[in-house]
Amino acid sequence: MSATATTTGQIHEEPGGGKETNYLNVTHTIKSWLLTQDHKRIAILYMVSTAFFFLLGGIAAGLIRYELTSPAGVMLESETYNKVFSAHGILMIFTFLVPAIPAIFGNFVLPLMIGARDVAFPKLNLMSWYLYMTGGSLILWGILAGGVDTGWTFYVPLSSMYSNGQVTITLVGIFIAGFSSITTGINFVVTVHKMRAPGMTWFRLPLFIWAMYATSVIMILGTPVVAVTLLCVIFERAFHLPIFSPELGGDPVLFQHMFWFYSHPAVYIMILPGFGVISELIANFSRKRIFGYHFVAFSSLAIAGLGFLVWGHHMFVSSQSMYEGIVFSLISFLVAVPSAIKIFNWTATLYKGHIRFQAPMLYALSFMGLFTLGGLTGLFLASMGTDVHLTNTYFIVAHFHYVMVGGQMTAYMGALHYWWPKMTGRMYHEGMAKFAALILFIGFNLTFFPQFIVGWLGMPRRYHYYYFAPEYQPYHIMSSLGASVLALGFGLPAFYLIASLINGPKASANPWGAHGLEWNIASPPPTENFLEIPIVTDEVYDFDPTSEFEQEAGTHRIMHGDAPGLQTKDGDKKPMEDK
Amino acid sequence: MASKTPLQHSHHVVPTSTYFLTLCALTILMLATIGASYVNFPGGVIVNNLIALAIAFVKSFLVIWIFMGIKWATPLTRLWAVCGFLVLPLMFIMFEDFFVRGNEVVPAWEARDSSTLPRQLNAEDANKQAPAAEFGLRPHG
Amino acid sequence: MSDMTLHHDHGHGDEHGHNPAQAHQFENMEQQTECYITGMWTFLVTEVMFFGALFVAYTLYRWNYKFDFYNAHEHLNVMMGGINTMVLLVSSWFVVMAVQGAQLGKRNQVLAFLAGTQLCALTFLTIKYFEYSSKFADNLYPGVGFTTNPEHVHHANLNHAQIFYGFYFGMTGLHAVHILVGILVIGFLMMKWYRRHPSVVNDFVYTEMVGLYWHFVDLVWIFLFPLFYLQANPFPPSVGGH
Repeated sequence: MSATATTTGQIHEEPGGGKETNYLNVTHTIKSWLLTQDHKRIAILYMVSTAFFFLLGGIAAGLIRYELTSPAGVMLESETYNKVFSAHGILMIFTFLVPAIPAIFGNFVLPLMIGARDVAFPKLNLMSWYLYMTGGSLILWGILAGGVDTGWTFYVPLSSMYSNGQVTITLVGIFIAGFSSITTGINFVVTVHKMRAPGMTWFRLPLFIWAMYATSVIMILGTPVVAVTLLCVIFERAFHLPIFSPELGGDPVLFQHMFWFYSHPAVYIMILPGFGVISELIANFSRKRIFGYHFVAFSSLAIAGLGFLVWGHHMFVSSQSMYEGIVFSLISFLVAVPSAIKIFNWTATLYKGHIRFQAPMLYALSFMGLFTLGGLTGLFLASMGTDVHLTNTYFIVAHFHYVMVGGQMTAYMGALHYWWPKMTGRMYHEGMAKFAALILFIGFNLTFFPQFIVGWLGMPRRYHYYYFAPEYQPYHIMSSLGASVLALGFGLPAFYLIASLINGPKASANPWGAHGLEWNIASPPPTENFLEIPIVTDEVYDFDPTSEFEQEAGTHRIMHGDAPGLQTKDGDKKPMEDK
Repeated sequence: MASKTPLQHSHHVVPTSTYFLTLCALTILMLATIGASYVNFPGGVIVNNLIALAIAFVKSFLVIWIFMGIKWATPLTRLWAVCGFLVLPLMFIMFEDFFVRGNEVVPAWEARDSSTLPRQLNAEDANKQAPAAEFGLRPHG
Repeated sequence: MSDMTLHHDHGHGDEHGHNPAQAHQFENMEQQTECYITGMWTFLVTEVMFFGALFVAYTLYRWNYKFDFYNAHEHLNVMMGGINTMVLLVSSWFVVMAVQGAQLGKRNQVLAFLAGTQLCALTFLTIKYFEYSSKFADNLYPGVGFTTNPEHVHHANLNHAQIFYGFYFGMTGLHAVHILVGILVIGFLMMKWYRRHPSVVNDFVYTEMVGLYWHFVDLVWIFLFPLFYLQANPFPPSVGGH
């Protein structure tokens, strides 16, 4: 049985066969977009604005990689280089990675997946976008006015006392962007608790929802702590209220404790939505129920919970006590377990599945490999002995880029390609998409794998020049060349996705033959989502090939050579045949 | 009569007398906490602090239970009220660092006395300055 | 217990129509009310973590510098702090009475008690103003102008006293900002009630949400007051106070 009792009747049929009204074309004015309360439009607003900040962060990354091709630097002064890598970190983390999948795909798909008409608080949703734009604009202003040289970690007393950069304005921007995060989290948590369709029990939810729920819990509990920590730095800097000043008896390590109390769970905010996306992609593109649904669901919650107990592994060499370090090291090893559970379960899902190597699936498989690598290297850093050697080297940079870019960004691209037809009603060019996925994978590994090596050899991070160790140069050159390929991998989708908006073929309601309530409504969906709220009778990942849904939607058509991506509304009724 | 059926839970109207009695209880507790701060309980300063915290907890319980209406709230709302206050103590794990910093026995590590946050164990330490000040560090501006 | 009936029962009576206060994304009023209350509590949880981090930091410093913090705190005015505590407790009571009025549809009760809350809030801020003024007058604001007179800090280490006052101004200042925001929000709510705006008249939940926020502000002060103003004497009896 399919996931719902009512699969038909959800798609508008205009009497003259004319253009259907959907959330995109129902109104056209700018005011209707900027004052929208429709979660789908807000998702599009986020998509455009996060893409803009990603571009800026990417330019900063390009500058860094260019600068590192020569041991003595190329064109930047050292203080400028510090400002560039700080801008890269701040923009990428606070204005892109933290909001991206939750605010775009969470906003768009979460109400659809649970069978709701909208999120619980649509006006708050809009306000969260305005908070994001305000925060992002202030950060941008800080960068344009001179930038900060403290790194995205803002360690005191550099940031509170001695830095000559635009610390205050940047911190105010991050503070406001944090509230965007908090309001999104509040919205999602209440929506998932209270607005599920009848029959949609917790264990019938798609795993993306479980991941989004865990992410929202972390957002709610963690973000206020960094908000107040950064506020304390603002207090010190702008109001001269000493909190961390060592010369008065304050403790700079306290800042690090408070900062990392959020920033470690923040990395789980960044990766958990990616996990949720991968669950959806793996299930739907191997046409098999996720192996160990309950384990995967609870592992999301376990990551959220354990993630709050490991922040000290960022501080092993900060003069934090060794005994506390032991505790944090142990729990850091433990927090790897739920992530590993997910990887094993996805692998088991792939086994004996009907795998289709379409673009979203390429990204999902890419994720599994790259995230595993990134996660395993995290264990080197979680054990204190090796961390003493590897900390503040490029090993760390490579580790977190593997999990953030190889993990989260790859999942983002997968989600983008998977839900693009639903969001825009258009299909992109599949061949180019596969090519871009391959380019991304190659470029990413070329960029970041040499960084593991050069980090192991001792190259420190955040260093502008390394003329005292010119033997690192070949690795940096390889990395920078890889960065160009990586840029191509990110740039190509921008090109063909936008091209698809102009002359891509129209997508049907369910071009992937996927399971989930969002695939039962038209692409793009109407503003009110569902004509009538569906009643859910079964779990979502039920891929029984003899069911009527499978006959109509996918398995036999995929296996017998029909073109994926386009589907007639009434589907083929061909019986299963052998080739 | 106030109904106890689930539908009515969010609409339960609390009588004025309940609220007023709670206010009186809170006032008495406030006076108690002021009074307790002037009394030296046996057990030293730790007991004094614990008593002050305990009174504060009782006051906050009354505010949350009656004034904020958790007594009559749905299970979900109750869960939220509890969870928020449960996660807060997690941050106190930070303290473990500061507790045990002085225990380093490795010779290369600096002894407690010269750490940035010297703990005042004795009353005579009351005026001791942080060593960092001796290095001439001055605030910015 | 007196018998009270709810005001907007008529909203449930109509089977096919919606209560005009019901938003489009909700199926019924119960769902909407519980969503709003749960949402507000979720926001309050974030505020708990917000202030909680400051409490943790303050507790750490007080534990490490307990003698200096005790000495420095003796310059705080316990009477003013106590009056402020009383004022906030009374304002909390006013707010629950306003919520009760909203549930019963008694506009006058709502407006009267919300006005009382505003009065209490303004009293709190006024007393705070006087407290801060006296601190500024004694040069107790941290920074290069911090007092060098040991009397003002009751012979505490001047550096550690600066940290104490850093937390004092930071936390009570942040709390005062929350009170200010509360004044604005309650004023906004009062305006809506005054104009008989259907969204607040037909649905008590908005008043309740504002009430929840106000109680939280009161809660923070319930903890701030003893931690700053009523510190226990850590000096052993032989040494005595300052």
